[in-house]
Amino acid sequence: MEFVESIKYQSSSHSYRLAHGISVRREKFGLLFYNSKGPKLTFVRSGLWILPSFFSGELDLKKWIQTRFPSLPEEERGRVEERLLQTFSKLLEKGLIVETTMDS
Amino acid sequence: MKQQWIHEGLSAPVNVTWEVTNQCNLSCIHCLSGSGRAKERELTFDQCLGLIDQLAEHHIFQVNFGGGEPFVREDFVSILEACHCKGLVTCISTNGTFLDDDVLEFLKGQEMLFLQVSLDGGTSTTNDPIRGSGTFKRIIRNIDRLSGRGIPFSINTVLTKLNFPEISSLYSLAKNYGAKLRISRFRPAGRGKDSWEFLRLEKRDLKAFSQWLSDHQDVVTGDSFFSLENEERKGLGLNLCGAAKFTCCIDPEGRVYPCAFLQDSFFYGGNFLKQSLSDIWSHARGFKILRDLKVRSCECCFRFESCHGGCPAVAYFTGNTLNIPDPECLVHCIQPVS
Repeated sequence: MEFVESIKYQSSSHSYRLAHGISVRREKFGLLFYNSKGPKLTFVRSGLWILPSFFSGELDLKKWIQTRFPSLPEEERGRVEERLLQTFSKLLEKGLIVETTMDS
Repeated sequence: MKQQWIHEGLSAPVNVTWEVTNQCNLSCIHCLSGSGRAKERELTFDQCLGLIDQLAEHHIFQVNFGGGEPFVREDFVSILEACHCKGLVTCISTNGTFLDDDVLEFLKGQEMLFLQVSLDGGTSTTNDPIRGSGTFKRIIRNIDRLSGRGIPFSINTVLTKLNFPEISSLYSLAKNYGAKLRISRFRPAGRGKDSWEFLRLEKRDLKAFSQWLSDHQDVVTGDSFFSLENEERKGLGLNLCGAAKFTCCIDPEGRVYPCAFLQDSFFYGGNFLKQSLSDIWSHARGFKILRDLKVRSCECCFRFESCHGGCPAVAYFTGNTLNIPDPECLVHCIQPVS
């Protein structure tokens, strides 16, 4: 999967959950999404930046990055967030994840 | 499907075919498993639960149940429930003759389950010589019952010389039930080895079928016709054989093979009762051979990116080698290839 431009309403204060009927697992390259109703497979080259547990929706992206990569410089965190948001926008488009606000 | 993902290798299959019993009340002449009587050491219910634990631990997404007739096993519904409890999506291939009221009640409202009912003709005249006398009526009666209870299903047809002329009527029949038609490729495995020459399609029919598929994009094929599919169906499924790359098969006694059509000692990976599935998946020799397989003579073909050499099972069982092109690929149907 290629990274794509993020869409404006997305924010790193939002968290994400898997959409209904979607499963995900970790692979060497990143994440493998499975849609039981098809098209079945989506490969996401995300390395170790995001793990399947992120999609429990418990942490927003900012907190996730802070928690998992505490020693990452602020500027670098911003870049990672941006890239991941771009990936999430593509996954949202494909209906693989849904966005939830932390206060909802 | 980009080859880069394949080269990197997946940690586990995306789905597995689990032939949960060899027992079947029918004796279809093309049966890939040669089903009939139960095998001597079929997995007990507890062993099945152990296997389900392993499937879930390895984050396998879907289990495709076949056989034999899965519903012949009295504990089959419990096996399904155990899969769903672990988050595994299930798909059942049934001959449609064992669907009693209890089974129908269970099937109703199952969100994690897909059901495929086998039917090999639009008429009893075509279906019954393949699946057995009186089966067309029995299957249609149970399809009516499924439909009447709002249970979603698809109709699965193995494409043969006998039913090819009725493909359009099977398509209409499925449509009338609000079901999808799923067409599977006939392969020379199980009893299919004996009936191969009699049932296999002529090249002109394969070519015509390829066009028919292009004209019927809502027909699903379980990725079994990628070697025949035209540009119009690009993106609807895999463009290569998924054996040992995305899928594997577990037989009724727990033996693991790369694919249901490659249940041959050469490809045997191990038994999950003695080795972990993960170990078999990652290290079995037969699995590695398939992952590394390169059909050199196909690499210069203009359709190579569409099929990557086609189905190794057909090549292996018809030519006794893996290093030959699928004899039923579209190019072979258009022109003889030396």
